[in-house]
Amino acid sequence: MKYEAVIGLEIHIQLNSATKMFCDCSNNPGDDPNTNVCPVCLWMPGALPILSLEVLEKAILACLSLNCEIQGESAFDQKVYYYPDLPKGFQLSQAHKPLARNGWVEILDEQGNPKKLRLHHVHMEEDVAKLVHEIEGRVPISLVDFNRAGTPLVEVVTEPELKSPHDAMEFLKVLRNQVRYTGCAECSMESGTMRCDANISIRPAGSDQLNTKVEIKNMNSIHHVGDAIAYEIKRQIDAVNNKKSIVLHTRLWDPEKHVTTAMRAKFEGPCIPDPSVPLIVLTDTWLEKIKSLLPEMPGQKVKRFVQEYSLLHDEAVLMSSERGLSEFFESVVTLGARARMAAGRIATQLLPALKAHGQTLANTKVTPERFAGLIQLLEKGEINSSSAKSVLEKLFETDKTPGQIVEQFGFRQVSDTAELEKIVDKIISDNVSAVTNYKSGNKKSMGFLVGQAMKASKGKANPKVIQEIIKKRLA
Amino acid sequence: MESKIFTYINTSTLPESDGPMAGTSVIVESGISVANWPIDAQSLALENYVALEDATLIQRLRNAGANLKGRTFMAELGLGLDRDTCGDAINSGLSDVVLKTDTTGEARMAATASGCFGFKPSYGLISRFGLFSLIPSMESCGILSRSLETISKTIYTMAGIDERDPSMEESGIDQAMSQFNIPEKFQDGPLTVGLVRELNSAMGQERNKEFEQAVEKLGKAGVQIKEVSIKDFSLARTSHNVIGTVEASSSAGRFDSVRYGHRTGALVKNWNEMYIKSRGESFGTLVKAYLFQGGYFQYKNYNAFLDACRIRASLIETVEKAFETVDMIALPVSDKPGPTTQKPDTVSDFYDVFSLTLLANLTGNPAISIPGPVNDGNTRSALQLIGQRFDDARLIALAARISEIYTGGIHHEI
Repeated sequence: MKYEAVIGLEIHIQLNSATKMFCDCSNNPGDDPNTNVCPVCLWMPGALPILSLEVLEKAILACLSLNCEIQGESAFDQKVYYYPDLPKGFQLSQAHKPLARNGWVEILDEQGNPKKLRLHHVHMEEDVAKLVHEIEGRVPISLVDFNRAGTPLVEVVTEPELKSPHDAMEFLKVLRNQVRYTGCAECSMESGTMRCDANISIRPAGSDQLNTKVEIKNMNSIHHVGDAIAYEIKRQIDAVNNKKSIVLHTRLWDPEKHVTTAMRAKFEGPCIPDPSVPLIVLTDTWLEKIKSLLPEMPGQKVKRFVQEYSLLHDEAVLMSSERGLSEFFESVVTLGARARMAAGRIATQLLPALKAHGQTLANTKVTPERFAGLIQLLEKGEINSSSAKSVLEKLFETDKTPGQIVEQFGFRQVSDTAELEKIVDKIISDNVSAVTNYKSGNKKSMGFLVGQAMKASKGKANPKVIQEIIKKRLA
Repeated sequence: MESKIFTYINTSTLPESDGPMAGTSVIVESGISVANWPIDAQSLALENYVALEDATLIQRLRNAGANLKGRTFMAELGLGLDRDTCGDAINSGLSDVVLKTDTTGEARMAATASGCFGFKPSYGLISRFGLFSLIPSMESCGILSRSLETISKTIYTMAGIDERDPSMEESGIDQAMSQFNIPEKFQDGPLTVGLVRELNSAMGQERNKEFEQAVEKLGKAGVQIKEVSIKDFSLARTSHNVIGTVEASSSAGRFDSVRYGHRTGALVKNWNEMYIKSRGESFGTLVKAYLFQGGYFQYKNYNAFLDACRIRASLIETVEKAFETVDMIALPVSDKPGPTTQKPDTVSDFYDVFSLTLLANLTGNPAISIPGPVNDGNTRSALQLIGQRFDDARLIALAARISEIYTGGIHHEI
């Protein structure tokens, strides 16, 4: 029998608010253990949780970026379970009245066609403490770090309608992009600010039943999610083919061995309304104010870049892929650089250079002003393409303007015909066989000759002018 | 004698003060945080836990010059009145005021047993920051005193918006606070007291003659007596039982014996065993039974919890409606002859004692108990008045008038 997979994802995203969700402690889980703590997030008796307005705003922006319907009324529940990372015995979460419902994101399927994946809901919840197991000593001990306790999360729950590892990976990429755009979260699976659990079941292809699912945890990259889902689908199909039944449970992905292993029975604890955190009631006026804070999202931006700047669709998609990048691109264009040239140079020169220097657009010396200056020099023909690369390198090293760099290091392009004719004449006389080849119709030889001339000019010659002179001489 | 009444006596010297609470001594039950005082709520589960900071209400009393005397014995985690000594402290003149968390009627019942006034303020009038009880949605800082003036002054000092308690309602509090400064407004004018039509059917066959006589006395003194209907009155007890146990089960979840509280000395294989053994050794029978019931509704019968919440909402609505025609609702404090401080063995025994006080906890209304004309600790002859939410100042003022009629001022001369 042919089977198909039914996949639903639950994604936890850590919001980057300044404070934790219910107290004023700093939201920096990576600091020295147990330094960002107070009676509220240590969950001491008598302390009461006060919901942070910033967290609420950021959670709503994240939901809006996923096209969700924000609920006029939402509320916190106590999700009860007993484990050392949760020493108060319940986690504040939104089980019965989530912050947002519905919503969707658009991905491209395996054939490259757009496909909408629907979200069931998005809710807020506090994170639990972190356990550190020290197993090396004579007596193994478990330590609890409360820096993460009470940090703000939103949990995105999809409808169970993803069909393949491809769907899941594409979904996560788009989700990450959309939420990052709002500036409310980093969404890095590698650093744990985005975590994904996958619920997987199989059924005969074409049927609409929902069979017993298995939950998989512990994937810390988008690729691991794809690999784990692919493994699990195969495992379940093999199991069913061998007449074994699928039991509801949780499995862990082992990234070294590329397998999932059974962890525990899936636990569903009770959820009761929390008596202390009040009902969250959003007025239309306030919600409109928050909506106005939502930046232009990638979908709209691509369209605008195509219309306004005449970028090709793929160029527009690339320039919109990250909010910081799109803003950098637009600044460069606003400062006078031609849009397509700017997009091309950013993609092929700047981004690889940033990567090589271990920098990002947010922390580099290469500001939009300096980069736009560089492109303008290129457009005006004051430098050629290869010098532009060298000037870019210098932009990373000094604080000088591109113009000053060109002067100081002599990158100015030579377009003076008389000077270039001398060089060309020498190249022609030095490369007899290439000249013969060119004359007998081998056009590739032209490239070789231009290259030799450029080399002779130490890269400063205007290649267009060189080519014209060679053509004229050999005509 | 003091050692039989107090679990903790404050020995630090009191700073000079001419604040409104100067000269007023206050005993603070062990479910309310006072910085550097033990706060074990009489449970091994909180053994050796010392409060890090003052509850907001304590901070306010301190600033007003109150003399914080110490802590008296209480029932484990404030559930009922087993071993409670706060009434003895009042009777022995050891304190003007006792602050006692009231989640089911504990402050009113303890006051009745010792022949003084017991008041439970509106839910949300006084900050819950620093309070620890098992039932957060019903907990109020209750107060016992022989003087209604002292009660009024103490409540006014403790009340008011606190940014550390998220469940306070600003508008209601503003209204409530503005009424404390105009007691003369309530001294004259006609009074209407409501009797709950469903009371008798809820109490079964046995009529409460003492209560009937008290009402009769009020009527003769010119108080208008009117019947009001509170449809789900007989379901209040069940609703409190289900919601109370469920919240308690969650609230007690934090007692893991790791950071404070008693930890088992038994050899254990893993942390689950440690939790189970430590909690098993810590909690008394009633608390265990109470938590078990909550666990049952949480895990096995959530629909019963939803029903209980619906009943609660309907009670809040019908009680509110009753105040369209009456100033106060009168109920007995208890339908059992007191004293009621003996140890209940089961949840059902516990609710038998508090069946008539729990309504105000469920609905969040203020309620006050007025002792009987003879100070014999008979809870049947004590009168309970319930006021409108955030109408606390008025309820205390009207209670003074009712008390004059009812007792003829006798109990003031103890």
